[in-house]
Amino acid sequence: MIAGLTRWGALSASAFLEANAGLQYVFGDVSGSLRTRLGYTQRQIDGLGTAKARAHRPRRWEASRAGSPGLLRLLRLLSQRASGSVQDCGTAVVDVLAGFLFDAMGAPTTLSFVAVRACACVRACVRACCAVERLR
Amino acid sequence: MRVRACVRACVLRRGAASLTRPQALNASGFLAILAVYSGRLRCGYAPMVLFTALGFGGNGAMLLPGLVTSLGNFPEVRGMVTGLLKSVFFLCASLYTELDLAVEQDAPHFLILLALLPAAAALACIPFLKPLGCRRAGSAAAAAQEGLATRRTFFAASALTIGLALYMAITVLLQTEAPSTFLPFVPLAFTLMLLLLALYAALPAVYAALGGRAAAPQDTQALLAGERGGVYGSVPGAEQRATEDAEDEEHYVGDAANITLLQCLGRADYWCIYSMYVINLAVGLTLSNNLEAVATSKGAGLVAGYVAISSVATCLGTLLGAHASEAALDAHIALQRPWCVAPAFGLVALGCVMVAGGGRGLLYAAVFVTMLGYGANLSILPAVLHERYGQRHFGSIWAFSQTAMVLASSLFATALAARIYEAHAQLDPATGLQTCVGGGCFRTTFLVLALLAALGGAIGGALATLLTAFYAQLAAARSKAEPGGYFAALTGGKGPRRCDDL
Repeated sequence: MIAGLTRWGALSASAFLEANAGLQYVFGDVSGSLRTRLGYTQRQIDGLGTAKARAHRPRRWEASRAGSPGLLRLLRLLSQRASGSVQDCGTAVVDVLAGFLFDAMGAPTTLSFVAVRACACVRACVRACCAVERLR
Repeated sequence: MRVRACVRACVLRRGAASLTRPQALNASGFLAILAVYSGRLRCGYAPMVLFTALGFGGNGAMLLPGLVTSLGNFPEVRGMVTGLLKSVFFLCASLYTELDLAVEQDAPHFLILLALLPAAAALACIPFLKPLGCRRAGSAAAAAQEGLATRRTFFAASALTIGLALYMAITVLLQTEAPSTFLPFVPLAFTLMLLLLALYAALPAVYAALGGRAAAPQDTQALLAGERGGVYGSVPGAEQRATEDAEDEEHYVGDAANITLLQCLGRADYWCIYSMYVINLAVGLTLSNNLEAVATSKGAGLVAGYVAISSVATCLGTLLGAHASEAALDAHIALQRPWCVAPAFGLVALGCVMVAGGGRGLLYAAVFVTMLGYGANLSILPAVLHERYGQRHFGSIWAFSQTAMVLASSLFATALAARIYEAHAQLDPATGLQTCVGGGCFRTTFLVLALLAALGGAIGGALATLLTAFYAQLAAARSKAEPGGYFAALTGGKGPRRCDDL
């Protein structure tokens, strides 16, 4: 099945994925039950609604085609500089700073997301150090 | 051997971990909500906020991989890709509402399904979700045939989505408005829904039947060997980056291929798009977050019908916005894609006025109209972002734009709507809860949102004026590559666009 994979197969898979990714709009189906059972006020229910929207924001490196966090970009820039392959250092530095800015904005989401983020940064750090070693 | 290659390419790679990790959060979040709901876990409000964020947020992270991968695979029809995938995304609520009815609206069972089904779907889709790029046809005639088949397959997929949406609207409405007659048929309706959903798997066959090219074996070999990287794949090397540069130059006009997030933040056109996004989300999230309270304040019994109508309307609006904006782009008239947000905001404003002033009888129509415009904007704005700023940094730009969701939800759904609701609420002796009944509960909120939507339409006009030169350039490039464009595929005219000619 994989052998016949085309961009249309990927599109079909994407459609299936999207058909299961919109649960935030199901909130209306469960909010009434939560309100009655747990005795929440409307403001608390809306607070839960905002929490789901806040966490819905995808992390930057998940969205990126290269799939790298700000820290990984910084270390990659340093490794590129060490190997002399960097072309536009100014733009790259600005991009790295933008990555960190975005990471900082996403920090107050939830503790678990921060923990996941920290683990990703450590992994990225190790990976980038290995890359620098290889370049040397 | 093939199985091993598949495992290496699709499961052990970072992509699998990146897609399944949010699903683990999704499952744990909903299971924790279930534990609190059933009394097995006693906790305050703050942990519930965390569980909600984990449950719904983990699920929402599934949106982006499919969208970004498909936009990269089909850059020549990006408006239709956005419209199709986002319409299916919005249909999710009505599909799960049918599921809710199938378990007789039993909250614990429904929460278990919310925890497990998306995770299962993500695991099933991971092996297929790969960026394959826009492959080049050999001769001009083959490219023409491929372009025509591509557009027609998208029309077929859109028709399937519309059919599924209408089916969902009718069945859920019958089940909620005449439950004694139609609830016994829920299993049958549910089975039919699954069968309709399964038809998306036939898209490759539809494409082949319409004369499209079969997959080139070497493409698959390269994919399995992991040479192409991917959304979650390995970091591309310098050679691949150079290839991407060349492709970007072909697919985008002006400086669109190289704009980074930070450059975006210094541009007036980006902030126009961002503010329209905030306004649109303010309306959509306020309505969807408060749908249960809006419906009960107007005397409605079952809220499931309103959730389904809201979902179906957003789905249809998304498709409408996508096709209308694609047609406008190929019509070679002054109405370019950003102008299409003005009528969409008009629908949103009209819907808000209907919600504010109408009673229960008008509520279905009000929700439908509001969410139709909301959905249209949600398919037009990402397409404008993508063609203006390109594929390279689209992920970071899109992710930053999602902060609009937090802003809109905090300011309007929580701060404005909930405060006004509670100002009108009175203690219900039967339940012991502060409940609001009557038109005043949400009137001011939705009148404010109607005014904001009108402002959004005006910003859309300003954006179109700012981007006049850019769209003239883009329209010229599209016209050169494909005379007739969108309409050629509809009428069978000659000269559909080649993906490598843009």
